[in-house]
Amino acid sequence: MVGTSVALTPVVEGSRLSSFTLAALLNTFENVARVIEGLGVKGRAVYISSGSSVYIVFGEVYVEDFNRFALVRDGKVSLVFKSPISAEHLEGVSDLCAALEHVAIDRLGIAKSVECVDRGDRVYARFKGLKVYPLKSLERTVGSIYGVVAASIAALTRGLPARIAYESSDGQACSLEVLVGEEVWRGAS
Amino acid sequence: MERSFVANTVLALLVALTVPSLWALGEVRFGVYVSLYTLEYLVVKAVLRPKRVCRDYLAVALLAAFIYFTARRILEVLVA
Repeated sequence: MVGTSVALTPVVEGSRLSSFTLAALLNTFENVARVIEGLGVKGRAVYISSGSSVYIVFGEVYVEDFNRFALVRDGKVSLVFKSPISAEHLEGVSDLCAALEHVAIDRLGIAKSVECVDRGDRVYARFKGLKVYPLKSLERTVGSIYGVVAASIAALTRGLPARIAYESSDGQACSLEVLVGEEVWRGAS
Repeated sequence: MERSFVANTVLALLVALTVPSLWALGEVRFGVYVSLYTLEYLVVKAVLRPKRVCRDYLAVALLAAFIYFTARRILEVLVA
């Protein structure tokens, strides 16, 4: 029994992301937010897994080809970005909450702990001991780094579209709700 | 990660304590051992919340075994 328990425990090797790299990642995200705001694109960010990658589709137009950066139809625009989280970052962890903890705490080191509740079509996550202060400009567009990580992992582990339904932060903790399901994507456009 | 490591260590200690304790009490029923292992595992899981690479099939298997042995015992009492 103990042997099975040990075998079920994920092995973490290597180190967390340095603060320097993390800052660079956040700057890249802020640029994405600036592009979205600058172009005046309306809509919600939907996270869609395709192969081992996750794409963030922002806009009002339904997108099927994720290789295109932008799609314009009837005066409406959708932009497609690639999420920084892909299947290889999960390192074999298939459980949503375990993967969230693995990536956010063990790998990125963006929070001290995370409480996660998986309700199938809804995932509730609360990050405590934040190492990165969520940027308001990001929250208005693709979501904060916590939202991006949670929604990307939800899309990857489920293989279904995901969307951040709710997000709030008080500087100490960041609470968010992620919707998962096919209707999330259809309903967004 | 530290939490998972602590959980596995505590579990190993509890299992190591359970076997000689029950043996010293003269317990020979397999179901009693499995039931205590189940209890220990679920308590450790609830308190320390160790990470798992997939769904916790061990907890499901132990719980199923616990239900089987408990149901059998209840039936024995009811029938007797």
